[in-house]
Amino acid sequence: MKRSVSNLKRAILLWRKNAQVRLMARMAYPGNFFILTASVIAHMVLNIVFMNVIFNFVSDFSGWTYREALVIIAGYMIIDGINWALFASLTGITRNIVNGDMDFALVKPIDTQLYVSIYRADPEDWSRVVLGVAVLIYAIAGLNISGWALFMKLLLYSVLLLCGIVIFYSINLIIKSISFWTIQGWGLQAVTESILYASRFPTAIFAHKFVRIIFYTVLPIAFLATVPAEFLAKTPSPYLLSGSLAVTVVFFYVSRKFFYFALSRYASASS
Amino acid sequence: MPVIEVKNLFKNYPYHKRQPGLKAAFRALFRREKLEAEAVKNISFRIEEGELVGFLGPNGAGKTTTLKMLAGILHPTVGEISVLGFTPWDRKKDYQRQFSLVMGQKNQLWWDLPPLESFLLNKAIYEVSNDSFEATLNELVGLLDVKDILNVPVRKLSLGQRMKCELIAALLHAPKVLFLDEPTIGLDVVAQKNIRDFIKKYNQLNKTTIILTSHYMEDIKELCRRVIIIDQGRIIYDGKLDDLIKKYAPYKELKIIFDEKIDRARLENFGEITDFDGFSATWQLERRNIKAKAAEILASDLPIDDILINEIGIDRVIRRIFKNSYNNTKIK
Repeated sequence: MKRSVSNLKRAILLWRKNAQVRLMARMAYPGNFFILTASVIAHMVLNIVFMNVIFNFVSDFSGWTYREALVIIAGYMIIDGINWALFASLTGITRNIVNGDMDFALVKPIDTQLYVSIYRADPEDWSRVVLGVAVLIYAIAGLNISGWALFMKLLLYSVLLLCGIVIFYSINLIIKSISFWTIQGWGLQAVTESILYASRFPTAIFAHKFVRIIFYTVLPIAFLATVPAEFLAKTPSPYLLSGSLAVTVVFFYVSRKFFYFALSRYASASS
Repeated sequence: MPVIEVKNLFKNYPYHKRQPGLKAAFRALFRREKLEAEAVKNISFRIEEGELVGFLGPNGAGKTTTLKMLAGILHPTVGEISVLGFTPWDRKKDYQRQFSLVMGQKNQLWWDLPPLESFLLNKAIYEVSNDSFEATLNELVGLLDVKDILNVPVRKLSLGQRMKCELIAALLHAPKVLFLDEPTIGLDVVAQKNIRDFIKKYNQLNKTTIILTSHYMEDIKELCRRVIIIDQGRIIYDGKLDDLIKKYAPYKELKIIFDEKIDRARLENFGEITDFDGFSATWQLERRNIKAKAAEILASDLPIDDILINEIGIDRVIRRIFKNSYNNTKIK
């Protein structure tokens, strides 16, 4: 127990140091820093504009009102922001395999999964999280929930959104680990982005039963932003809470095992 | 007990062979010929604490592959390795805290930031205490004379300065074993000398066990009393550098410079001439015969201006080992 606490403390210290170093590296080029931040904000705003366009034509989106749909969008923005702000390093796995830089991750006395996950972070992407929270606040304002009920719903929402972050991280890690076989895996980033993009919409829009089963099990997109939003804006089945927790644990465990299995295939690169 | 022990090590790499052209590229999407390269074939050696050993070999010989297996980056196909009592590819944290790897062709430092920031990051990764970090940093900065560049972004540093900082980053946690893969590659002669002097001094002061791979003979000559020569995945020599010369170059060169132009035919009696330009001639003779031969030539009526007896350079010795041409040389 003591060792786990010590490892966790070291991991937080290392992440903080990495984040500082990365932020300093970004700010070493002020022009680029501001351009990146602006482009991230613009990208996020487009999602809200897109939702507005849909609701210009319909009054509900598969049973979701405008404000309720914004809760899903907010969840997507927060997950996307956290993914880039904390785990942007996962996009570098393919490059590190191709040029042999994964060697350095393997010789350091730190958990390799942790190291390849947090070594690089994109600090400007915290603006996505801030924007996501702003959209969430705006969405909640239109939901007519207050007092103790709002507090409990927000608590559940936060727990489930955290589960969504971990689930997406796990899916991302599994997909990026495929690079250890393919070596060149640039298309894998498009796959993970597509999965996250699909989570912007309520899962109910996917009418086919088979697709919805997939999105609640094998590819649990529903648990990313939709299920947390359901607990905030609607009255869902309580089984979804335990389901989310179970999927989180299973996917994190599987992703870790798969990553280390894939890592055993690593053959470095010629010097 | 040796610090490094390698027994019957093999490493094979699978690779795919493909014919050139678009049609072949399309066919390769569905079917490729799979082959296996034997990078390391049955090598064994032991290294004691404090030794500074040179790994020598042509490109593709298996030096870096062996180093990577010692560092735990690669798993061997067959064989055993023990470094400080650990099996490297288990990647135990206790082992990783005790060794360091520096690759001359790769950069570990944060490119956009001063080296000091990378040092602080390594301090956190290796859990180096504040006191130890300060003391070690001061020592290394002093030895390498880099105080003025610690706060300059790495991308602004010269190659030599960068390599010095790479070494500091690698040594901050005072490793017991250091793997250096071509640390002086691409450096100018002054920078190479600085790095060599540092490695030598560091090894003497701290008794760190060091394995160094290099293509530069000066690195090997200056630093290593023992060399392991690897060619096509096999060890073809493991021993003292001095003994290598005696074993593979059991001869010296005798060069005579003449006062006037000489007919080559007059010199043929003294043995096989390896070089002749009319005013000088060179013979390659066994060490035990060279004095007698020199005396014989001096006693002749040849118009001799100067006489030189040279060792065969270690560079030529190594080149000949790799070309495998010693057996064809006639010795007199």
